Amino acid sequence: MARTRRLWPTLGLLVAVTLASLFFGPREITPDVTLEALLRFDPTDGAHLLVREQRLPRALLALVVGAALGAAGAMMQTLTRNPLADPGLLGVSAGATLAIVCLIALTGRIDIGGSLWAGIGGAGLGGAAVFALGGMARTRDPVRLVLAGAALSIVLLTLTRLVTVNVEAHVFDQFRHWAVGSLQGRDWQVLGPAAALVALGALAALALARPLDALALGQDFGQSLGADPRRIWLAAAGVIVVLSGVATAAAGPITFVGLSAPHLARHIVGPAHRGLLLASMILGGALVGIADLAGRVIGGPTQIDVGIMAALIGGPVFVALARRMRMNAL
Amino acid sequence: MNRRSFLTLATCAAALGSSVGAVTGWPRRLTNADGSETALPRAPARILSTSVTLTGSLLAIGAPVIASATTVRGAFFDQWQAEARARGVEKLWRAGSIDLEAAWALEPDLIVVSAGGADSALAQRAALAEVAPVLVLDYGAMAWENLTRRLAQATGREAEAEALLTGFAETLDATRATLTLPDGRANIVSYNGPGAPNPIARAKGAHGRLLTGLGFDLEDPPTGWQSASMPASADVVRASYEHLTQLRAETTFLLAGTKADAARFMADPILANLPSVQRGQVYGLGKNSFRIDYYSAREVVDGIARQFGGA
Repeated sequence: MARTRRLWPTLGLLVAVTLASLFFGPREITPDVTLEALLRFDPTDGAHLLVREQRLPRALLALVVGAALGAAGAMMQTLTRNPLADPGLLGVSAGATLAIVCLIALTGRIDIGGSLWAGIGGAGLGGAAVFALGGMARTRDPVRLVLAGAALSIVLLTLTRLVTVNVEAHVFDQFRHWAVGSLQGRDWQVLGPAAALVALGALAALALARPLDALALGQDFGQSLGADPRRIWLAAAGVIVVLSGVATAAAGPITFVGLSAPHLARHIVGPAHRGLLLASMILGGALVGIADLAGRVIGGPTQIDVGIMAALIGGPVFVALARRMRMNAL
Repeated sequence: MNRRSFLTLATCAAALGSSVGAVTGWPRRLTNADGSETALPRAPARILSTSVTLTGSLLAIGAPVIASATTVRGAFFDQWQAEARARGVEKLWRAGSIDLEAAWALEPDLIVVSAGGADSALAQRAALAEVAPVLVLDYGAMAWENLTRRLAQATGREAEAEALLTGFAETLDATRATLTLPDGRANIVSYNGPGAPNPIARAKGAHGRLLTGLGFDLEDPPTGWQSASMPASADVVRASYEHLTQLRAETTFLLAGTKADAARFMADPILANLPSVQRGQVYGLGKNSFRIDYYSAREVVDGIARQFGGA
């Protein structure tokens, strides 16, 4: 219990980042106008519209996407008993990306409803392919799994690029931003369904916390405690696919968050899954929020896409973590 | 009467100027974008255009283009592709994938290269120069009229170019006289929605000058809105979506836009308070209006005449 109390500062960080991101953007809007837009909204004021219809949903979406990636990463690391597991590394995000890109190329438009389902379907196929290629049904060799994931991700991303260069010019620009991971221009229409699906996924993940604890003890040990590893595996894999598919559809592929957030979380709250999942979601949300905010502040008038910033920030954080902790102490 | 006679006089002076000026016969020395010179022994008869943008201006003055590179997507520009087909212009490589063997096989006597843009073959300049004399032009740094004149000088078609430009100026004036324009100022936006940059045309850029020539008063976007690491180009400021909410003009034209794009722009909830949206005065500038050459400029003028003509 004492360890769950350590969650409060992270929650504070998340709230601070989310609020801060309302105040920054290419158009300078003074803090009091921003506050006014939140408290006394006037739809005839362009600045108010911008805060309410652009910056607010974008900040909330960063939170939702980060939470999804954090939870998915934490579960993946437990399931594969692999500290390097991450939706971005194991073909899940790449599968979702390719599926969404194909959908956009076929229909000629970016439609969040279709993208969400394509993302989930692609994530499932990508994950299943890595699982099969890594021979996970027979062995539990983490190196094989990571190699299979990296190889398949490269193939899928190459295919994605192939489709991308052949789409219509006007779709291409939007598409380019989506494909590097961008929260720019994501409004309530994206936030609504994404938040609903991630909330469901998060609840399912938390419901799986105790079985995951049992599984983390090792398959044989877990089994002797009454956990059916196959069923836990399938349920958890389903949740991972939904979470990372939705995150990818909403913001494009974002790497390192699913990797770093659970490690940070484990550092703060320990390995028990209830706390770990909660902390991973909060920290994931904060990391994406920070990356998005930093992309806007550092880039000056240019906005650096959140996917790029997440990799720029997440990479060094991850290396630092790896050096400080024994990564294989899962 | 004054304008017409002035124009005639100007044309005569220009024609006289070009015939009396530095270049009269062959061989000629052409100045490249970097200040270097290219020698041409005689008027070219087989021109290879490595830039799809330059091809339009070559076609407009009737220069003998035998082959041209295409866009990245393998197409010619819509505004002149019928003309290119009629003249039997061969499609070469896609922008960015230069094929030197194809250049050798065509045996051109002049190769034109753009100094910048996605359709630039500047990196292959030395290799191309072994095939034929290479002329490098920077279409991003000059008005389309001046680009037309430079190409005319390189191909010995000055008279055709001046006739073309005079004819265009007359069309512009004649069209302006028939227009009933909306009150207030106008702006030109390349509307890409919130996920991408939304370039806004500058008053002195190609698009801005065209609309000014038709009598519009252009809203000039501040260069501080430029949202890319490179400086704003002469034609547009690559503004971010958020800056669109700060536009003030009463009329908006959408670059490369159609009626459907105008409807999309007016339905954007965040842009609901723009003066042009509130007045319902948002129009497409035509789908080929992104890159201005003689052909697309004519299309834009015709489009405006259809929209605001009938006075």
